[in-house]
Amino acid sequence: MCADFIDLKRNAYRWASDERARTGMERAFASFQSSRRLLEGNAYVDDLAREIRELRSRSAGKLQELASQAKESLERNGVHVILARTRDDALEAVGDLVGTGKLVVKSKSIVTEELGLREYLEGRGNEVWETDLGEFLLQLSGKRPAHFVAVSMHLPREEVLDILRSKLKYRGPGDIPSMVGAARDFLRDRILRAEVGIIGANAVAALDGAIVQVENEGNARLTGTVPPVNIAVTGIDKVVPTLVDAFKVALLEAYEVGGNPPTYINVTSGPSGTRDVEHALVRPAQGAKEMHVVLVDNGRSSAVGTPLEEVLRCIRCGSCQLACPVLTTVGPAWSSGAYMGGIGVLWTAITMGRDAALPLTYLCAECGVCQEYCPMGIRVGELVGELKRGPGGNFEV
Amino acid sequence: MLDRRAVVSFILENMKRTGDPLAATRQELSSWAAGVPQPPSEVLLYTGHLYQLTPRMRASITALQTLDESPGSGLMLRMGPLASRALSLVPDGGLSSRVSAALANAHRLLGASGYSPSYAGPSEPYSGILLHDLGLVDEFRAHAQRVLEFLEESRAGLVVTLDPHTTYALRVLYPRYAGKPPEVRHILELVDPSKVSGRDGIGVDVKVHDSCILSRDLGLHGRLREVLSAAGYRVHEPELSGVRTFCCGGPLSSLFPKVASEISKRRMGQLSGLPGPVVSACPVCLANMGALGDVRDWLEIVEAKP
Repeated sequence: MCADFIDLKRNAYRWASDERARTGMERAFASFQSSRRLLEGNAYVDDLAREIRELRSRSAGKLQELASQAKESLERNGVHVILARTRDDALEAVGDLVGTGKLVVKSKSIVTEELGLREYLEGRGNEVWETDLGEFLLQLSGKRPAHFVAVSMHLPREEVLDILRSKLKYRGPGDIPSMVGAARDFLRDRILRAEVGIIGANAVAALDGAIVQVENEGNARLTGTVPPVNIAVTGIDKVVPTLVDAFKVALLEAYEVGGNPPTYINVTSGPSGTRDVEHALVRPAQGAKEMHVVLVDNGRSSAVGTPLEEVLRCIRCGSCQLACPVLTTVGPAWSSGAYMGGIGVLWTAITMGRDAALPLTYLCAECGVCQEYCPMGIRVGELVGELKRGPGGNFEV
Repeated sequence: MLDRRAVVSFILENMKRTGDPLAATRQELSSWAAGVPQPPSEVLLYTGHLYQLTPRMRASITALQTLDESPGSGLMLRMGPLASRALSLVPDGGLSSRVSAALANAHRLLGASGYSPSYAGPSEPYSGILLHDLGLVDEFRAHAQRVLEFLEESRAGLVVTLDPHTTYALRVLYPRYAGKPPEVRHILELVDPSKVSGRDGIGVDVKVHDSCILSRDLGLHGRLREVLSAAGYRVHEPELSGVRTFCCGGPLSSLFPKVASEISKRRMGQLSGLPGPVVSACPVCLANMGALGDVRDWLEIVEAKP
C-alpha cells in the first residue's frame, strides 16, 4: 500500500521520533559500516561484483527469454512451474497450490512481501508462519520491514523482548541468545508439522533449472525440505543463465551485506528423490515430495527498454539501504510495503507503477551515497530524481 | 502538517514576488559587495544567492518544523499567495554577517589567485536549484533560461561559482534542461594554495564534513583538503568522508524539516569525537548543521595571504 504525501510525512516523523526504532537502526548502521570495512581492498569480492554486474546487465535485457528457458529446464527436473504475469495471477497460483486449512511455513522473500502472500493465504484459512527470525518478529509485531535483508533492524532487543513476552508468552531473560532460542523452539515445531513450505530465491539458473538461496539461519533449508510440498516464489529478474552464475550472485549478496561468506547456500533443482535401489528414481526421499516454482513478472518485463531497466540488475543486498541517511532515520516509513528506501522507490515504480512511487520520491535527499555502495552500479538516487521530475525531466516509464 | 503543495506555493510565490525562493532582500543579497565592479567583464562571480540565503534557510527549517507541528497548518493549502507572508522568516543577524564576510573573502581569495571577477549585485538572479530539487521541472527550465540570458548579457567567458549546488546547476542541469552556460569553475578550482593562509583564532585542528555534491558530483573534496592544508590547518577525517560522506539532511529541509534535523544531528554525532570546529564548503550544510554546534564554512577560515 502506498501513502500520499501527508501520510508519508506523518509516518516519517513518527519513526524519526521513535527512540527505540532509532536505536535499532543506529546499531544496524554501525554494524553495516563495520562489515563494509571487512570488504575494503578485497579484490576477490570486487572482481565478483564486476562479473555479476556485467552478467546482470546482459540478463536484464532478456528477462522473458531466460524465464522461459528456466521453466523448461525446471520442468525437465520434475518441477511444476508457473509463469505469473501479474500479482493476482501469482496469488491465485499459490493459493490453488496451498488450498485451505493448511499449516504453512515460509522463509524470507521480498517477492512474497510484494504480493502480500502471507496475508492472502491467511485470508484463505491457512495458518502461516514466517521462519526467518526478523520476519517472524515483524509478523508478531504487525510491523513492516525496514530493509531487504535486515528486515527488523528497527526493532532493538528491548522491543524484541516486549514482542516475545506479549505474543509468545515468553518468560525467559532478555539477552539476545535466550530470545533467539525461544524463537527457534517455536519455529522448529511449526516447520516439523508444516504441510507446505514456501521459499524465495536469490537466483534461478535457466540452463540447469535450479534455484539458489543464500541464508545464515538455516530456516530456508528446513522450510524448503521438511514439509512435503515446496513452493518457491520469485521474480523473473532473478533468472541468470547458469547455476554457476546463480551461485556467484548468492555469494556476492552475502558478502555485500555481511562482509563474510554465508553460512548456507542452498541449491534446489527438484523434489527430493533416490536411485539407491536398482537405480530407479523414487520420489520423495527425505526432502519435499513436490516442488513448484512461481516466476513472477508483475511489471518487470515492462521495465525493459526504459530507464528502470538498470534496476533489474539489483541483487537486493540492501547495501544502498544501510548506507542511506534517510532510510536509517525513518525506517519503514519510507516504504511501499515490500520495497523501502531509494531502491525501493524504483522497485515500487516497477511493480506498482509511477503514481504509487511518486510520493515516495520526495523523501529522497538525492545525496547519491547509495550509488557509492551499490555493487551493481545502479544510479539509484539519480533515477529517483528523474522519476520525481517525470516525463518533462526526460523520464518515461 | 504542511503538504508539499503548501511548501511549493510558498517557494513559487516568493520567486514571483522577489525572484528569490526565500524572499531575501536586495540588501541581504548584495551588501557584501561594496566596491566590487559590475559586469561586463571577462570573469563573473555568480553566487546564485545560496550563501546569502544561509540565514533564511536556517530560519525556514525552524519555521516549517513549527508549522508541521501546528494543528492549523493544513489551512496553508488554501492560503495561496498569502502562504509566503504567513511563513515570513527572520534571518539570524549574526549568521548574516558571517556569510557577508565569507563572500567578501571569496572575492579577495580570487583576487589573490589572479582573477578579478565582477558581480552583478542585486540584479544577479537566483540559480533555481530548489525548483529542480522540488521536482518543478517547467519552472526550473524557464528560470534557467532567464539565468542563461543574464549570463550572456554579462559577456563573461568564465563564470566563477562559490557553492556546490549552484555549480552543479550550471554545469550539469542547465545543459540538460535549458542550454549551455559559459565555462563554469568552482572557486576551489581557481584558488591558488600558495596564496592562502589560515585565520587567526580558529586553531590548527579542523574536522571536515564533505558536502554530497561537492564530493560525489564535483569531485572537489581533495581540493578542499589541499587548500585547508595549505592554509596551515590539520585536517581530521570522520569515518564517512569524501565520496562516502554522510548527508547533512539539507535537501529535505523544505519538505521534511524534522527528518532533515534528525539527519543533521546524526552527522554532528559522527563528527563529535574529532578535534576542532567542523568545516564544510556548502551553505546548505552550514544552515543545517550550524545550529547544532561549531560549524564554519571554508570561506570563513581560509584567507588570502597579506
